[in-house]
Amino acid sequence: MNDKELYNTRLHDINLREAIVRRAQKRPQMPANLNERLMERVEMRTPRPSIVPHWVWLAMAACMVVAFFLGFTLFDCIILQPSLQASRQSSEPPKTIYASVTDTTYQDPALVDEYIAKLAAQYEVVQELPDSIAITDAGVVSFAYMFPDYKEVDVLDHMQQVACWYSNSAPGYLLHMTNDRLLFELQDEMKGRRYLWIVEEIGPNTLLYGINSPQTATISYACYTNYREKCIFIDNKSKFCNF
Amino acid sequence: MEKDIDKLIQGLCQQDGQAQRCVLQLYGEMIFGQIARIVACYEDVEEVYQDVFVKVFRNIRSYDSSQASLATWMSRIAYHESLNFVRHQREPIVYVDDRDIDLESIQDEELAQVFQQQDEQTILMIEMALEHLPPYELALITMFYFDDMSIKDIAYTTDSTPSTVASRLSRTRRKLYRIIQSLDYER
Repeated sequence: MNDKELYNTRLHDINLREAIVRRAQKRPQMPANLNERLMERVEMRTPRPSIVPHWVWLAMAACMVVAFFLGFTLFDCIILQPSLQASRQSSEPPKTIYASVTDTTYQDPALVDEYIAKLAAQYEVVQELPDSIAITDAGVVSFAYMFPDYKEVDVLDHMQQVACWYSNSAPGYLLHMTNDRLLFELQDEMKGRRYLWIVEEIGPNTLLYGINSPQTATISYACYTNYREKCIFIDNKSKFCNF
Repeated sequence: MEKDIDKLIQGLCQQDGQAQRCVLQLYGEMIFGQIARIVACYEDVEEVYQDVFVKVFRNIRSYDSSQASLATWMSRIAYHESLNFVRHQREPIVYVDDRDIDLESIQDEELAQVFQQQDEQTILMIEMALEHLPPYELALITMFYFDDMSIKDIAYTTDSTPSTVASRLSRTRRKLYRIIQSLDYER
């Protein structure tokens, strides 16, 4: 069948045409909002030219520059400066803090002794300077306080707070503590002296033992251990007596 | 009119939303109907419709006005999209295969008696028989009888040649006759 015959057939096939038209009419009709939905989909996919004014982009760029600058400055202040300070401190001699009396960074270790004296006065504890411990070496001064009933006055806690007055980067700063014992040490570079405080709970009491010596002196802890043993002996003796 | 279409195509090439809306308004229903006659499920028709126009808008630059009109070019996309969709459906549908049917022995008078003499009963039978045609044959015969498309345009739409289209149309018409015969026999 050639094209002409086919077109002629199409004209005459009225039953076939009618059947196809009826079938087509039974097919679903196009929903009214389909094109709108399609356009939404197309618009989502199509990269559109920017409708944001140029000044908005400029403002955003300026904000980013400012934010970057601020971020960099903050980074410099927070991260770099402390590390630079630390590196300076580590490279320079530790005398910086105790360089002079007028130096505001100077922290006098003798303040600890003043505080202990006030604390002892408040609780009416007498400083002991027995011969055996008072002078053990040339220029070495030792003293002791026996605070009664640590539950009433927590010497360990007080000394811990005192230790917090001082920067842990101070020369010779050493703080070591356990549940019932504290060792705190400082060195005064300006005066060339070394300070050591030992606090220990012995029975219900608390022994505070201080040593103030020249930096060059070698300190023996024998005086402390002797005094401590003596305290323990007294404590036990008092227990027996009480018993 | 031609100038309007050229302007419309120019707008489509620039991805202009107004031109896209205009195309949908002009050709949307035609394309939807074409898809709906091939794809059975209503929801699927909507999906294929959207896919067709997304392709149209995306590939508008490949449209060659010397080969076919804009409507025919879009019909071609819709035809292939619909057939691809039907082919990829999960459950394959069995259609009447013309390998086992004797089509050559059918006389033209027999065909004319069924298709050319208006009869309500026969129209209903033809309607039923249409459902037994494979999608590509149904699309072919619908394009020819319902859309009044030329054989040349159908050939363009189906990626075929006019002679092949003519031959297929003739065979499909004979096949329908055999299907009607078998349906009548079953009754």
